[in-house]
Amino acid sequence: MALRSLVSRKTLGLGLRLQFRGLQTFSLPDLPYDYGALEPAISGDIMQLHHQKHHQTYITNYNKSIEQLHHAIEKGDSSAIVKLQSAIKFNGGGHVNHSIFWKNLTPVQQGGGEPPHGNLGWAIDEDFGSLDTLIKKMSTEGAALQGSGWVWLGLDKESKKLVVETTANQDPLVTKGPLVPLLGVDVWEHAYYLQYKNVRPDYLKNIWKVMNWKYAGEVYDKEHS
Amino acid sequence: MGCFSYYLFPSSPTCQVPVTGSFACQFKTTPYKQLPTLFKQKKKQFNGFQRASRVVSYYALKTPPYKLVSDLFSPDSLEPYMSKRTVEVHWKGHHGAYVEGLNKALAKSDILYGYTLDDLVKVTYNNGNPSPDFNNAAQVWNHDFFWESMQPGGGDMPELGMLEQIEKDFGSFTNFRDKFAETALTLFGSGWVWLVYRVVSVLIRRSFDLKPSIFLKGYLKRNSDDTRGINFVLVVAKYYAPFSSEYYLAYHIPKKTTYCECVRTLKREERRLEVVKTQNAVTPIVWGDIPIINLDMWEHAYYLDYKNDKENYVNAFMDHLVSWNMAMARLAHAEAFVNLGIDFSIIRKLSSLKQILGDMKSEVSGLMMLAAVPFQV
Repeated sequence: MALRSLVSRKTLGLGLRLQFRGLQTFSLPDLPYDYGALEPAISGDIMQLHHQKHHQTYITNYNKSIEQLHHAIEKGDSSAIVKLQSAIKFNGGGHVNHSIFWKNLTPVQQGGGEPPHGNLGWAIDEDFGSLDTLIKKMSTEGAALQGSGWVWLGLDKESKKLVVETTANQDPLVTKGPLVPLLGVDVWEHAYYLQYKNVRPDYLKNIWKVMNWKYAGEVYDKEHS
Repeated sequence: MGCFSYYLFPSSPTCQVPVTGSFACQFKTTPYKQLPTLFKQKKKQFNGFQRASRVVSYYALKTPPYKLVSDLFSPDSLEPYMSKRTVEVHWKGHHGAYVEGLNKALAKSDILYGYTLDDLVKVTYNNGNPSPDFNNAAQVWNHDFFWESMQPGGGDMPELGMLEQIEKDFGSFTNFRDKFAETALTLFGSGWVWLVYRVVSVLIRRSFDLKPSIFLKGYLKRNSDDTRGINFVLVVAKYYAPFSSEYYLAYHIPKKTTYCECVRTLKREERRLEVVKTQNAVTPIVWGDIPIINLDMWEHAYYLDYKNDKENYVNAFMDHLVSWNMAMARLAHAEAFVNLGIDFSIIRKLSSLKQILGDMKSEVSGLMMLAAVPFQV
């Protein structure tokens, strides 16, 4: 369900292409800002590659897997269905995660880096002590993550508490429990390598300057109410 | 050169366990002792790469067999297929960071300190439940292996025995190349692709406190090294598996730890080359395969040069970088080792065991000591 809402927003025209069999395919959502708008925290080169190449590849492969899954389901081929799960988890997860990621970032001129106010701000103070503590925690966990993955600020739907979690590869946050992703930071090397090379901690230091806390606050309010 | 450790695999399915008062011959090599000298020698070569480390470290950032760092510090030997910038950041930045991390962990841990790198990787892997130090140890191992798997002017096709083996196991070189590329491109996330030589299937691997038999205890007492040394006892027993080709191999470090694995050696016809992929830092040595070449598919290995075009990177590696010379040497080494075949069933006397091990000494690396002694579990 969350997937559909992600896809339907900010897509130009042919975002949702319904095929004659009623199989929905997904397409690349537009960025709400220019590629270069997040400089100097994240270079325009990275943003362009990340969006046009990496995210697009996930979507292409995701669509392919979904189509194959559709065929397998029609034929009742259980082993094929199960075999496709890892490709769907990887590519679909990549699509889900990156769609959230683009909304998590915003240029400084549009409020990037501005600390959260309202309910989210209070919840952060309550659950982590201060915003700085939260940022430090997320940066540390992001830097310590081995290989590829994401570091998240999530809301536990059951306990109503904020949590910091990491996921491996392209696993979406829902694989870690009843968590709603508020903010995700991509720590795959492709997200920072061209600019920061192997110094992931610097990337994690600078990305907070373009973090869209307002969006996180909106998601928090929606889930928490 | 690359780090390998090979087990002694008797080819005969039976294995006698002679119980004698005095013990099997002592064949001790202590490669770890050579490392500090090596490190000091290599240190001079590092020029603009000084480590201000106050930690006594046993692992140095080894220079590969080809010139990677010149006087001007321009590692451009692999240009244009792997740029100087990539090699610098990859070697100094990533590989270097792993070495530093490993050395820091070794300085703190008495137990880990005594292992050879191969066994450090296997022990920290802990049979699929890795300890925090596994990552650094394995990545140091993987990267050492990687730089040596490449050479300037590499690529092309292998020759002679290597080619024969590939054609036997894959049908043709093209099949192998396609399989290797496909495996590399279908790897999710970070990882490595390997060409390995499969000689055993490891059935179980466990760590436990070994209660040595009275004979073993005596032997160890008489022959143990100083406290900083390693005292591996490779014990081969047909324990629980009288007439099969299964063996228990136990590694025992006195007063420290023991881990044991049960392996089944593959018959000569069953041994084959395989292409495998591993996630993150995992290496096939943890399940008994012998690696021949590897390819780093972590994004840091190709992103600066190829961005997200993995296919071009893999092709560049296969066509221009991979060192078939190195692969051939490794395969020959592996073959020589597994073909040794000691028929343990005919070893009755200590002296004949000594003789056999004496002959093998030059071929076996990583083997510390052999004692054919029953042990209690």
